Amino acid sequence: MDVSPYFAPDYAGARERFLAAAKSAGAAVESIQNPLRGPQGEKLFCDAAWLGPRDAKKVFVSLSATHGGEGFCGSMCQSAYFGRGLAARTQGEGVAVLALHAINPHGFAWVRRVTEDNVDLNRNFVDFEKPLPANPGYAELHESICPAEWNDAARAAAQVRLEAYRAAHGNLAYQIALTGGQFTHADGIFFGGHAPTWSRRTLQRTFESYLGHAEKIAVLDYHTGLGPYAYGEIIGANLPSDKDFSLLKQWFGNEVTSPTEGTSSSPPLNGTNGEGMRRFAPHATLAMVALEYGTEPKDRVLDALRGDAWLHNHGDLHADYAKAIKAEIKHCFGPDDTAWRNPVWERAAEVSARLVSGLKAL
Amino acid sequence: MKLSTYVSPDYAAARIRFLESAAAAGAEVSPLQHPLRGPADEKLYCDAAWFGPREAEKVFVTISATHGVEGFCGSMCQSAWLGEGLAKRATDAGLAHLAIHALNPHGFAWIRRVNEDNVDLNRNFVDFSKPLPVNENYRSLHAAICPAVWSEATEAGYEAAIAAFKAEKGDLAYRMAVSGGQYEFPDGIFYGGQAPTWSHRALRTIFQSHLAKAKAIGVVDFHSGLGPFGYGEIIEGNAPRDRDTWRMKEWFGDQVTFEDDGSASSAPMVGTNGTGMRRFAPDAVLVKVALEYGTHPHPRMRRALRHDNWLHMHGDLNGAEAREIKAEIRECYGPNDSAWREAVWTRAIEVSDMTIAGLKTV
Repeated sequence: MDVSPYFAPDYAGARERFLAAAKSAGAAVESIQNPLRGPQGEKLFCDAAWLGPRDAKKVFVSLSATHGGEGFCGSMCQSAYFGRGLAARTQGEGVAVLALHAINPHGFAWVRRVTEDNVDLNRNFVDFEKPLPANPGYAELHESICPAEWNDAARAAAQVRLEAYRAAHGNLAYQIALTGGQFTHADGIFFGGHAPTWSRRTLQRTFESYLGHAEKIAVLDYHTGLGPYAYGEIIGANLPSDKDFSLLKQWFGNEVTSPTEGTSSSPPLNGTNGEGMRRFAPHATLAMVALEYGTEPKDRVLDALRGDAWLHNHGDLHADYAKAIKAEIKHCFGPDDTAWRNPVWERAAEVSARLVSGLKAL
Repeated sequence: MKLSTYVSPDYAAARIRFLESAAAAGAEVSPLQHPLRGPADEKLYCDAAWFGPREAEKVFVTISATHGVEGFCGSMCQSAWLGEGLAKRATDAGLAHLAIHALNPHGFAWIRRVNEDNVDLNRNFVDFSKPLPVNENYRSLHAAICPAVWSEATEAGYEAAIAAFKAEKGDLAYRMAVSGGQYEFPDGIFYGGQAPTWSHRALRTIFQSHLAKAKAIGVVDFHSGLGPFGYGEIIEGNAPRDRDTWRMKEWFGDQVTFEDDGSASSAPMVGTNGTGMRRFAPDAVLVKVALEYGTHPHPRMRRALRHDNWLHMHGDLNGAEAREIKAEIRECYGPNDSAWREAVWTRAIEVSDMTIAGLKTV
């Protein structure tokens, strides 16, 4: 059955579908309002939908829009999960469901990866009381990654410098420099911030209010933009040193990848939401995966992010080129293609089922 | 001179006027770009203009738009000071001058008192690693202060709740409850936040980049909205009182008022920017005052502020009602009245001169 009815054209449409699906499943929804608005003046919320007894000891948690515009995909999966009765089926199995819809609603509505403060939420969960991680490679490349002009000539010149760095340092060092996270350039990309952003605080708040009593938690965090088209890579979000890392191997075998171990399409990162969730639930058994769906080739996705960063820092948001930049980044986040969406949803249903049965067996 | 040439209709015009005035004076400007845009998608900056020798040990500092919309007043004073050549009064006294323009540019551009995250910047400088202050009286009034629906009925409910509170606990308790600062309701007024907001970090950055070597710093922070129409009250801003507070009387005589002894028109509050400045310049002599200009009567001010809060949380930002609300809050924090502006400017010169003279004696 085509999942397209759950795929929305914008944040407001996605929220509408999610609320309707959660309601149809009998879930209780709490809406946490972000203080800003979307591009049409629309209000922004992170919605927490809970299905099951409030004192459930085992909880399956899903997250969408950690990276704003990637929420087109995650929201679709969360809505279909409720709307097609899959959430209801967990109820006989002693597992409650918590779906956090649009944890970064501002980025979702504006079709950006980042939060309202240009922060990459999945780099923002560092301990800001301690010295922040250094990324000398990013600092060296910042002006080439984020040139002040975004035209063919400027991009070509920047590309030469980026390729020179890749040639000199290797592909992994290049990827870490670009995407590993940086805490020095507030106008850059993959910026981890200088303080906990609204979405981080909202995640912490929902963990505290919903999961304080939970003993066993499985988290599925929806992402897009890395890997083969429409393939969903199961990236382990527990660090290998974490006490529950072995659970991931147990549940997913060789399918689960690890950035730290070099088996993932993602390089090792600082300040992921996995770090945060472990802090918010220190004693629980906690298994976390990012389900990362491929869209377009890595360099094209990266260019889309760079173009969008340029647009919001330097450009005119109403110019014709703005429409082109926005259409490109939206495509890179979640192609408007049934041949992409349907396998995405099937994989989501499958991974969800494996997480739930893993929880059940604990 | 014609003061009207320094009066601006909006943030973008105010910034241009400020940059022109700084250029005319020969000041060196360092802009910090904010990640968001204004209502016309204009870019937002906090600009720091430095006039005088880089190595000056004593610096006369002015700040505008700590409370966004109050920037119409402060920006005018800063631009006139630079544009009319008065910055030389600082260098003639052996000091340098630093004008921090639009510390909260988002609030300035959107005609709001608060930051992009609904945070009152002048309550945001608490130590977030410690338990946050609790304001139980605000909690009891929040629902009445910030109703989800704005109607005659909810306004009557508000009036009744406030009257009952005052009758029971007195006027000072009322003022502290509402405007003393609260850290519990992100959708409320006088909300201090859960983390350092952008402007907090911008002020720290400017202190590090411009004032690290300063041995004596005198700060005039322009505010509006409390006290008699057109009068500029000098409010001690080293809150809480510290080792330099005694200098206030030396510099400003009996005109200086204090929040903690009831002589100021503002209620005792926590987390002011003075608290932050002391942290950013722990070893310097620091004398910080808020120059608070009265505008309209308190009930009108409070209503305008609450109505704007309602608009951004619940209302339609693009409707006719929004235009009325914005016109009212604009008038409340920067009256469209040339006599008011002349009084403001005359007083700004007077207090600046007192601060410069005070710094000379250190």
